[in-house]
Amino acid sequence: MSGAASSQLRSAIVAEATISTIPATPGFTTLHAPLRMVGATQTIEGRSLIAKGGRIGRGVNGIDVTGELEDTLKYGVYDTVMETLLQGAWASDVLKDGKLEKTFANENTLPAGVGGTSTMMRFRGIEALSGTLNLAARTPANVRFALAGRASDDATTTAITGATYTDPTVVDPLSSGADVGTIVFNGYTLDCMQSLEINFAFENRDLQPKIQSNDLCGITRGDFLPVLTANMYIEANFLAIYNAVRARHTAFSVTVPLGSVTGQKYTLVFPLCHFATASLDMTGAAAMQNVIIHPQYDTDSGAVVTVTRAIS
Amino acid sequence: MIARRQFVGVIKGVEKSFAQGDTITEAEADEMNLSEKPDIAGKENARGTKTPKT
Repeated sequence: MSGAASSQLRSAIVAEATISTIPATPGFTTLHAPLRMVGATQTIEGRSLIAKGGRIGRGVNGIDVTGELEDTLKYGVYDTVMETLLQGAWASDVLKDGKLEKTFANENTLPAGVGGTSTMMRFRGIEALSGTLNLAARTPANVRFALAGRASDDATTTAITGATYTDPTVVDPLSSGADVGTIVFNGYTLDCMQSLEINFAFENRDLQPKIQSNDLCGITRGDFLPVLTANMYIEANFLAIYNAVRARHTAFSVTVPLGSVTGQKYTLVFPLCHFATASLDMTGAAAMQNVIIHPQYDTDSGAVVTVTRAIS
Repeated sequence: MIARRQFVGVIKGVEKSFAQGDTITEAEADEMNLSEKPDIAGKENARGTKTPKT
């Protein structure tokens, strides 16, 4: 028997209605890219004088569930993960950041060798602790999520009764070219943009370990402090941003439209933003303006970011 | 029920593949709780054809 290939992995997720509980008869959605979940055992290594200082005995302090997901952005495929990242719920195709506890479960299935028995590794109570959306010229739109889970199970060959597995309907990755609409910094005319990175960063979003269990009590909600980094060519309009950074300036909104297929588009709006820095970079062939933007909480929308999907 | 799209279901502990348009028995549908999963199966398929009586 040949050993299993990584491409034989079936990586599937399902949203949890009850945190850390895989729903009964779960309706899993399979993923294009592997959810690289790891249950890392925190061991107690026994050391003893009776072993003349050598190792003797072993214990387990807990099992840390962490992982990552990296893929090209495909419409609709990562909506469940985005909910957990932003701690909100899609409502009428709108998602705002909040403080909800949204989680999903993951089942990674791998055959025990080619033709071997399917073996399932399951992780529960997963949420994205941070994420990035990277748009760069001549590359796909890339998403990356850092994940943590609250619990994991022993590997098993027993399938979940009544589970279903459905492949995502959208397979086409979004590009950073024609699939990105007109990016707007309201009040500013923008020069050509070479790249835009949206870092959905949090501070203090920490794991909450507990006694009496290998699992977590939960995960701290944290403080949502996203950072937008735009690299723009130096053209006719760089001065306005350059000078705005140097003083107090009126807050502006940033709008990022994604997608080019009717009904399969997102729009990200950061309604209240300020420039943090706008340094000039002359190290490469093209002179660039590196603009860093710090979105803030907007009391009108009650959020830092509003994501709308299914836009026609 | 009729499968509205391709999916894999666990029936009696074993995985079974369903293609779009496949007929699903009542017992299978109950086991997979398909009444709560209208996106993958229903009494009518995506084209509106009703489940043939067996």
